[in-house]
Amino acid sequence: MDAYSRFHAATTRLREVADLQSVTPETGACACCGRPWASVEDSALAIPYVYGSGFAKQYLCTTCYSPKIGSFDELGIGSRRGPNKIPVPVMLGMMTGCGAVITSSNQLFLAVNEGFRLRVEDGALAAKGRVYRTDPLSLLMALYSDGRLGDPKEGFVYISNFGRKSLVLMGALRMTTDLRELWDNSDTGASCTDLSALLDVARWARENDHVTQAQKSGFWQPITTAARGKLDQDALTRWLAKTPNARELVHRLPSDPHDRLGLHKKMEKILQAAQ
Amino acid sequence: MQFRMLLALHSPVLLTTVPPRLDGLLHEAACRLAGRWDVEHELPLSFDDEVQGYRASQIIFVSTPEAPAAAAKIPTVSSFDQLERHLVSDPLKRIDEAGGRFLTRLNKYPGYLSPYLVFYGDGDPESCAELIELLDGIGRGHTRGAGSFTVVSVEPDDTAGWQRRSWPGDIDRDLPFDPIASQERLTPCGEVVSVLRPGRVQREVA
Repeated sequence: MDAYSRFHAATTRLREVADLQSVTPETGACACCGRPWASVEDSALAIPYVYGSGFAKQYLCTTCYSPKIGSFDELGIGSRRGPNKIPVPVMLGMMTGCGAVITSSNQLFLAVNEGFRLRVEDGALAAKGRVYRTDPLSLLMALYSDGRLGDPKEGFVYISNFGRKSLVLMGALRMTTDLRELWDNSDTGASCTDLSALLDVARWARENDHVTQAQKSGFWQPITTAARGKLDQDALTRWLAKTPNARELVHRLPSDPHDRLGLHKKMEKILQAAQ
Repeated sequence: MQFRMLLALHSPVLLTTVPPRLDGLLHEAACRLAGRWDVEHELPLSFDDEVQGYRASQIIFVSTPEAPAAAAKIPTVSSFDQLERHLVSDPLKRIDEAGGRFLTRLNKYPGYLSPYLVFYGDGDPESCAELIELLDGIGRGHTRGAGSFTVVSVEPDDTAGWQRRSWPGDIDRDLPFDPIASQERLTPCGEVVSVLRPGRVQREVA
């Protein structure tokens, strides 16, 4: 299974309730993910979509359109609009700042912020216990440590932010099959993180009594400035001298400089999820 | 002859989903030289039966003691391109990446900047250097100035560095890297098969 079929299977309920008006497409492939109509999940079914006034009509596959489907039953009431307070359902694509994990058994888990927690708590997904008031990386760590994620080799989908541009998210959806390359899907496209190395660094922090230190940005200062391209050799030498088992730590650090930025925040999420 | 091709990197590289490999880059250059993209071209690299592809390494970032490999964010048009083309084509319209109506249509992609890049290979070093100079950049956004480079040197090398590339998924031997299972092509025009490959960001200190 690939990332799209996992997402499709996890959001089946949204589409069942929505009663989509599908048409026969006039184009060769989905405008968002670019897959030909023969290879999408609901083959030959397309949803017409116009981005805004003055734009041409596009045809999306049902999977790419799913974040735009609102559902009162599954996700609850998003807002009440106008003088008559007409309720508007929550859509996955409008959940800015919220993320999700789709496990290897195609179950959708949502990590929501405080604003959305109140809105989605009446939905069926929250009733099943699949909505958490946490951040997506902490949710992923929790699911991984208690085994609900399944075997990472079978593949899971990690969405760090649904954001505002759900079509960019769906255009580059990637599945993770190895924790050394965690594909972080967000509304700015997919990027890669070495979660395995971050877990190693967290283990170093626990072994060397640096759990509190590792969650402070000041501790990682020489590493993060080097990852930004400004090497301060003196500061790095001092840091190596005062850090216990520093050589081992440097060996465990992720090799991608993007992973070395904001290490304290990532450590905070990983170390607190493990407690 | 095994060689080590050192390139000076002038602007950050935006890595593609499958990290660039020397044989892929040389094939693109050969396509440009011939003006044809529909046929498979002969490359000045040795073919290896065990690896089922050319002896050519993946992209490796080289840092120096003075300059580390650094993270850079490159704003560029997202893959799902919804820019209003009639506005973009207007020469008087400035695309502002800091705000305004264009901000939502531009994404900040992760770029990598290091002083040098290195590729290892086995074949004719001079022809490889001549071919790769036909390219204007490496990685995504190379037409907009990302990943621009110049060849610094091509030297003989006997460290078998070309082995830092994708290998067939069923290979039964020790590989000189920590292998990650993936789906890739082993030759520039081959089929997508399961492979074992090094991590995306390979680093080396000069």
